[in-house]
Amino acid sequence: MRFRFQFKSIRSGMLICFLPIILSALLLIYGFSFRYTEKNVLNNSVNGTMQLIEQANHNIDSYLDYMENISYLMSGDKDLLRYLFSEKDPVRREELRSSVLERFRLVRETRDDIYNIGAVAGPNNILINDGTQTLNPYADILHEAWYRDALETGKGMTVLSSSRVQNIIMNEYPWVVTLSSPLRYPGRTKNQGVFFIDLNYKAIEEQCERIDLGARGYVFILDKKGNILYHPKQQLIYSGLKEEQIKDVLDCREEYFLSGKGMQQKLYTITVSPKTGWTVVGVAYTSELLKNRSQTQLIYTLVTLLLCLVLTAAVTILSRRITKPMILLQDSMKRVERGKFEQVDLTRIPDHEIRTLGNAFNMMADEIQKLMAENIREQEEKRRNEMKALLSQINPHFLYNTLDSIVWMAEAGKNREVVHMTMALARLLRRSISSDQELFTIRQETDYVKNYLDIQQMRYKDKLDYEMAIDEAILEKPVIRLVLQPLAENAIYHGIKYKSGRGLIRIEAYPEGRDIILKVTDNGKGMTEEQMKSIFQKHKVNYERNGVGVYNVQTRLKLYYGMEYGLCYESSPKGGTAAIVRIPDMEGGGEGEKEHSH
Amino acid sequence: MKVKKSTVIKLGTYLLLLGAVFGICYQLYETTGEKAGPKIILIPKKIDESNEFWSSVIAGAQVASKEYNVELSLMAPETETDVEGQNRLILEAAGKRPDAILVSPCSYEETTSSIRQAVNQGVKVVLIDSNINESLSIPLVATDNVEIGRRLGEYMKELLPENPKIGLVGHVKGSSTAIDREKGIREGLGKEAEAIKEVVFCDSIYQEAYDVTLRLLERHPDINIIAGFNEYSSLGAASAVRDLGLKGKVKTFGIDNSVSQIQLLESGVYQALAIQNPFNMGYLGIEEAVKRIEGEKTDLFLNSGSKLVTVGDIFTEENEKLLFPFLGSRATKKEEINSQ
Repeated sequence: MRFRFQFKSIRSGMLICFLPIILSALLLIYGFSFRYTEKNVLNNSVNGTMQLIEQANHNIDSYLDYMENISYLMSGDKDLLRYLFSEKDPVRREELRSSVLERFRLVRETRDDIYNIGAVAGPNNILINDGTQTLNPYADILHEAWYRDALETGKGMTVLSSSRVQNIIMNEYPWVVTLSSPLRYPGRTKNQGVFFIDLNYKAIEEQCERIDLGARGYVFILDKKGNILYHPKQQLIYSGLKEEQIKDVLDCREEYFLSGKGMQQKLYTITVSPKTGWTVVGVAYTSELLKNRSQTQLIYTLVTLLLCLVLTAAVTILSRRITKPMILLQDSMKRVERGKFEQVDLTRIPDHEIRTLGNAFNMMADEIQKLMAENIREQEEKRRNEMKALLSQINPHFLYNTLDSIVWMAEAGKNREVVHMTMALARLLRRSISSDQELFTIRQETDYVKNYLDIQQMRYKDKLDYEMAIDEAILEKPVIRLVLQPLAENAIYHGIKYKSGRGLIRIEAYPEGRDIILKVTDNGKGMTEEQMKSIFQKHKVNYERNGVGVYNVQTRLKLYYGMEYGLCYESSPKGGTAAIVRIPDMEGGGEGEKEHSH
Repeated sequence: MKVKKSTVIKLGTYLLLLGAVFGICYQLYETTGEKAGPKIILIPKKIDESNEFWSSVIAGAQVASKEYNVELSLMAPETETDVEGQNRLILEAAGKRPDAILVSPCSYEETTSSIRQAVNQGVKVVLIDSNINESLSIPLVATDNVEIGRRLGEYMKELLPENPKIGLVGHVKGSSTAIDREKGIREGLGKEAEAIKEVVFCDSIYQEAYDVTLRLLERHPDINIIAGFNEYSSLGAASAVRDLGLKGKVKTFGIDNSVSQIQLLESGVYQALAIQNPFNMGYLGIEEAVKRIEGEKTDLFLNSGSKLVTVGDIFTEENEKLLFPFLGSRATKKEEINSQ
């Protein structure tokens, strides 16, 4: 299925486009800067470690220098040389011996890093420490490397052994580093004995341990031949439980190398002392060197995260700011769609494209509003004209018939009736001519129909009676005019006229709920259903009798009050007919009053 | 396919945040310090400052404990023959609910029940140096005692004089090490094992060893080869030979490498010493226990190694390292120890 990228809104489009770009850029920067920092930290660590190791090497050299000085002083000691090589007198020898041993004692007392101090000039010519210890009779001193090497070296020189087990004293087998120098009686050309100091590892260990290479880091020392001289885990290495990468150290031409991977990666830093030929090696775990690494990583991660959040928020806010004018505009347009022609509030919209758009829209809305107002006015006009047209359809035949009746009555000498009828006609005419207003009060409307019925009653003396029942409360309510008269007329011509005997027309007006009911009832011949159906049809209007007609009344009622109001008929053949007009109970009706006040 | 874009954005952001939070948590977890290490109780056959074998075992265990961040404590009976005492200690140790117990059983047979009890209580047990007579599927870190015996036996065979008569001085009768070492010596001697006149025991007491050797030589004046099975028996036997002035006449062999023994080797009383590696035994014992605690499957037997050192090669670079413990600055002058 293909995913078609369709943004729901411009804003989400912006978010989806920009957020990944920003975030990936951030991640990229994070990665790069972290790697770069890591590299820097490693370089710094290498340099730092290097300095520490060099310092350690230097310190060890100084330490050995000091020991050499002691050795040089002691090996030139006159008493020692005389005791070993020349003095024969036993008493004198004893004196020399105690003076030398006193010196040995002094040295040993001041230094706790010396295991043995002594001089050897032959299998039975040995002075060592305080001179009380039993010597190991099986120790083959004269063939030991430290002895022979020192014997062969020049005056004032010293020889350093590697780590070795010193077995010169009975029942003692300590591991030591032996520093030995030749003894030569003044004036003789050959070395005849050796002065030696056995160093325990105190000072060396101290120097190595002083260097802080992290919790797991350590320092070890190789001698000239590449044997381990000192290692913090020497016993483990000697026991074969641990291995040290001695070969790698010896093969390494650089100042440092890395070994291992991940958390076990170690940094070997190598310095060689030109004096002793010893190699001091610092081993540090890169994971510890880069201990700050996790801190750095944490900080980088936090900063990146923070930036992510800030930027996400920023993008969200900015996109909202950019799209907000559009949304405002959109909302306004929606209101317009619903028909509320408001001006879009452009004050909140910044002055750019969107405002231009808004202005154009406002102009358009304005125009539409004008057009609509005009439209409404025109419609109103049209309706008025129509009403007028309908109203003006009144009368000519009725007028002619009435005048005709008056003429007849005059001829018959019925003066009183003539007066009465003429007055009624005059009132009728005055009402219909004098006003072009649409509304009557119910009083006016009923007066009007009363005048009409009076005239008709005089014309059809024996045939027509009428009665009126108007609720006093609604006399002043407004109603469109010429509603009752056409209905009454209709009742006469279609109901009463065909009835044998007298007919009765009853005019009623009363409120019903919020409406007003006007009712014209006759007891004429009634209507069939077909007649009822056709009664509102325009072409059925009988122009002979009355131009206005029922259709006219119905049309005006609907036009004025709306479709839910109007006229309806209730009728049955022989049962009479009731025309019922329902209009809303409107307040006022002042127009009629006004007319009265003229 | 229609997905609400805002949902996508929210989801994406949420995932991103979640990832970041996990990242940070992981970082924090990595940077937090090591957790407290396991508790292990070491029960050797005895604690005796003057006994270099057990001192080395303990030293090895201590070094390994430091390496593996183990909280190590020691419990030990008064003597190697105090089987009852050790059994009590084993049960007491198990009652402390440690992560593991390292035991060197005093008896091949009588220590079994207490170890079985401890194992049944759910305590991980690692045997060092000596075995028990029942396989409880617990690991043993020890010298291959048959092998060390064989090394000695083979060298004895090389130096065998005319008409050989051999006396063996064992340490504790019935102990697994004694049984295996004797077996190894006999294997090494091969046919010449017939020359073994008598095997005597000394209960791992130096004086006893000295005395039984004297009596042995009294009973069999024609004995011209004597071999000891451990530090005490070897030293007692060699001392007796030296004191009787039989150095050179009675060829003496031994196991272990106490300073006194080395002195006797240097002086030529011993022809050779077969040395164990007690430091390694202690170290590997702890290592094994840690592995077991971590649920790692290991072999049931771990050989801590052995070597034969003869008069001529004591101070070779290789043997020096095995014979003499490197103590660094902890090595102090003899007189200072004595004055303490």
